[in-house]
Amino acid sequence: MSERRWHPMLGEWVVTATHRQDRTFLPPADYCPLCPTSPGGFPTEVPESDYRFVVFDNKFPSMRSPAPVPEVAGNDLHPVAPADGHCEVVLYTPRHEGSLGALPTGDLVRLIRVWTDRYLELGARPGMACVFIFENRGEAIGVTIHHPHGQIYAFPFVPPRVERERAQAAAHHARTGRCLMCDIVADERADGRRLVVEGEHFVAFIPFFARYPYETYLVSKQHRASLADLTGDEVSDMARVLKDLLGRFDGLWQIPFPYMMVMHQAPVRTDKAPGDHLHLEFYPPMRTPQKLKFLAGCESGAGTYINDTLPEVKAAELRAVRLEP
Amino acid sequence: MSEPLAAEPMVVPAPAPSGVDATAALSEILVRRTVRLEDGRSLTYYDFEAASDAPVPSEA
Repeated sequence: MSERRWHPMLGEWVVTATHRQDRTFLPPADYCPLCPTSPGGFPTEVPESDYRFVVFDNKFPSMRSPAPVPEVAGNDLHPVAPADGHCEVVLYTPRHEGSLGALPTGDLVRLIRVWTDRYLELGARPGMACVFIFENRGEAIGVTIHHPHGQIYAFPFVPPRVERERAQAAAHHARTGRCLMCDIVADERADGRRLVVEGEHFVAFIPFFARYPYETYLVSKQHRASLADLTGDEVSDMARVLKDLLGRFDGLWQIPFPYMMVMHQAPVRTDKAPGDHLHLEFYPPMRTPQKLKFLAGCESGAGTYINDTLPEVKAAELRAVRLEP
Repeated sequence: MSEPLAAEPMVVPAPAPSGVDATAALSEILVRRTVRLEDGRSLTYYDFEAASDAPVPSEA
């Protein structure tokens, strides 16, 4: 059972997906559904015995096309709509062990090319308004399968977080004639205290306004609306800065560092606003090696984040991580 | 929540010191092959081939 229900108080959709209660939950490594299918072994999600990268429709999707007819009737107060959309899983490697940050730089370049292909492919499908690339890493985030993978959702609407960010960028552009993210990048580079990694074309920093202790943005220094606008050199540098940043995350406490990683860009190729500026946002949930940053009453109920740390201090910690040669 | 913190210490590999690996990956041809799974879902294999190994399209 799956449908969209309108939240009239917040003006946004909520997706129900009750079948997801039955999804695979922390299977043992030798029964990983994301590994290749070994000859004579149990059939995994991937029929072949090896692969480089694989993208497939999620077996337990929140949205699908065509969507099932909603089982509940809506009304003027509570509109209901079919949960149209696409939910894909992206496998980074056939190896069960590892992580995004452990991929060689060349494979990160290849993955960025896969992401770009999916962005264009899903964004061109009828009715799709936003392609959203993301990864949840670690059980602290709710990951249910450890095999290195990410996800891509294609929404038939622009989701509220993206829409709000675009509205702020549009207002800034109307006021100044400049891209908001371009101004943020310029300010962070001029200040320097919150920078974590700087490459030729991409830069990673903990923003001045970080809500999580280690919230980090990885941003194109040039104004690029989407993955599809990057040059080859920029793709290469994005991969290098990404690998460096993820190495610092894992090296900080010498543990696999949990995070949510989300990509913001022009929602689809044909919907490009002056303020759309490609970037990755990382929301690591840990504030110390033993403590989680909970989204508690104030964050969840009031929408105001309380950050117990200073971005300037946390960025210095990440800069100080020594990457093993 | 202590689950992710019980991991063994790990060695963090440094980024590739040169752009050689990335440059090679950029010059490859992206090849994708989509199959239909038994339950109707779509699955796409992505592979990358050296440019010189890529099949040459025949002329119409």
